[in-house]
Amino acid sequence: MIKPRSLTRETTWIWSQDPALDAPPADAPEAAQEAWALRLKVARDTNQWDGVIKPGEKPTRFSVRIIPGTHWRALLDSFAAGKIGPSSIAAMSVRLALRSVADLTDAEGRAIVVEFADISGFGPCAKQKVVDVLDSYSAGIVLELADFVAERQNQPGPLS
Amino acid sequence: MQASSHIERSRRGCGFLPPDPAANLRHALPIACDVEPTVCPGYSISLPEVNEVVRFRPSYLKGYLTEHLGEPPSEQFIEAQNVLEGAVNEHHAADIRERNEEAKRRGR
Repeated sequence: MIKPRSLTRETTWIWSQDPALDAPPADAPEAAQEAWALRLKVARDTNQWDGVIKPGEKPTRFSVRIIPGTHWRALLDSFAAGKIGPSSIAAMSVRLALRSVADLTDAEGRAIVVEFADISGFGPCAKQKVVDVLDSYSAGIVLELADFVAERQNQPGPLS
Repeated sequence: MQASSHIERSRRGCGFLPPDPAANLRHALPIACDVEPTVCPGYSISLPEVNEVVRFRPSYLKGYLTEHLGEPPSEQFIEAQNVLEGAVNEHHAADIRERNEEAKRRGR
């Protein structure tokens, strides 16, 4: 199930390069790439995925929450104080926002279940293992998901 | 009701279509207000988050938001409710201005 964007519940996020998406090939003309980018944006905004996911295929679905303000500010403070770098803040924001993942396996084909650990000042946080698995596929997954997390943390509201 | 052409929808800032630099997004605002829209209202009301904010507005106004949600709302959700409340108030204020101007025109 793909959960729509929500300010009160968890939201599903799908990586733009997921093989289950009906994206044009990398060498497709620029116009086709732009049209695809718009289709994906609209699907993510409105939760209308018809024609975006290949028939019969299931993309990996990440269920993310809005990080509580206290923990988000603690993360920003850690970054500002130089305790963590730009790559680490991306991974940490993903670990703080991620609640579950569906249809993700590691290199040996084992289904990945998100496990949590309490980190002082940040509350329950997905363990590093899930980031390692994602990085084994592409470092772009965590960076793109981190962008999505940050956008939701900073959005003043959907109506502005 | 007649479906609009792609060009017409694009000019009106339809979020389902590629952005048109010549788009006039103010057309859809029912009143003169300070909000600068970025997309047409038809797209906005198709967004789950917008519907969610509207659906919870009665609870927000009556102070039941936490009870309705089952947990304290996020800061982003409160902010969205404030944005909606501001827009509603702005609409009312503009409506009153319009009525006053109309009354002046009629010499009342």
